[in-house]
Amino acid sequence: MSCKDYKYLIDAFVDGTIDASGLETLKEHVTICPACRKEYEDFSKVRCFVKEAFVSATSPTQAAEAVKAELSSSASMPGASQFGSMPIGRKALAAASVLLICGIGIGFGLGRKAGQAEVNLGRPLSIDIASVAGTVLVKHAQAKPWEELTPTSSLFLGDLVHTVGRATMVLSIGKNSSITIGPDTVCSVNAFNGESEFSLARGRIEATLESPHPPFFINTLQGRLQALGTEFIVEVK
Amino acid sequence: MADNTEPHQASDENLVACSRQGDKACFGVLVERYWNMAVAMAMTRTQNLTQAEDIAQESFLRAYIHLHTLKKPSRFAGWLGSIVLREVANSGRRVRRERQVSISVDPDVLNRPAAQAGENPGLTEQHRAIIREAVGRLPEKYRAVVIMRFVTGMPVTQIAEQLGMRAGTVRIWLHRACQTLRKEIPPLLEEVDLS
Repeated sequence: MSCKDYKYLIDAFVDGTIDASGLETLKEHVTICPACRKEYEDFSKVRCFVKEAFVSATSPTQAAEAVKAELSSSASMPGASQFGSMPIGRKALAAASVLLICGIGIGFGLGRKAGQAEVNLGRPLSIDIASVAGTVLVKHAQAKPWEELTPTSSLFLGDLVHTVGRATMVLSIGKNSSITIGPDTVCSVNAFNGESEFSLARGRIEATLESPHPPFFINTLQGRLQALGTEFIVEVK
Repeated sequence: MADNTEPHQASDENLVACSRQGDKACFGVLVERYWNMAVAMAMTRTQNLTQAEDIAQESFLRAYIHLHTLKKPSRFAGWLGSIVLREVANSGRRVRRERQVSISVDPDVLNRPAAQAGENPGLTEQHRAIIREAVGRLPEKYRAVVIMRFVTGMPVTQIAEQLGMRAGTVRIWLHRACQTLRKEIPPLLEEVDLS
């Protein structure tokens, strides 16, 4: 083999694609060839120097613990961490489309109460789970682990619900009123006390409401939507 | 994890999948895996370790929040890298490539051998600063490749997958970057002996 052939091995060494036997062959050659040795040593040094020059003072394990602690303290989950702030006017930040299909606009004013609904974390909700198709996870406000939701589970105020993959779920929120939570959706129930308020981080919520119905809102990152009719869809992509 | 795989052995795809379901332990493994890469990428812009670590942590938190937007979970590292660079720009800490960066380090520290020196017992903080500056002067596309190859230890084929590029292109960038670094730091190459 000529030095030209060993050049391929040096290239593979730099690329990280050299195998053990190739490396052995190269190391044998550089002991007798000054030109290839210089090339091999220079690349070895560049590799080691760069690795050491950028070494972090915090070990990856410590960093992982710090990040996990931060995530736990903010009780966030992918796609759902900004429920608390819900800034309006950030339309340009997300490619969100909101579709409102209005039905009959009756009963908008009935039962409406001034001011914000009382938020009482952990309060059981009079919402029945009509059906669950696929894996649906729920995280209660005061609990850390996610649990799988079944038709017999209970929902509480502040619960975060995630329909995994193609899973869907239908909630019965009163006589002739239901909410269908679409696939790969993350949402929570913020209020259910005369007026209803859901937060939708991503995915799709379809609501069918009786007429007349009390105020019904859905929060998204783009704004707060109020249902004026009896059937509507909100989708956040 | 759903398939009972040891998290540290799991692929990025599997870790992303279970992280998306709120499993912070899985995400912690991703942090462990790519922490050094994220810090290094930030440090090429900031030249400041403390700031770089802050940016890296912020980037991981942002990545977790937006994990559902990652279209190809196998490209988590490449995606994370773009978040890090965006975080650097957003935080206003970006250092212009052309700018000469002053090293505000205590002289004693400059001449002190690396505390965690493994392979290079003779490398001082000053040496490391010179190397960081040399890498920082590389074109952006070369920098990412150099960090992924030498800090994270990914082979060229994996870097290409992460960046969604052809392996041949990545290989050319890596070799050009190495040649540039060889020209930029010749005294160091002579001065420091690996053996």
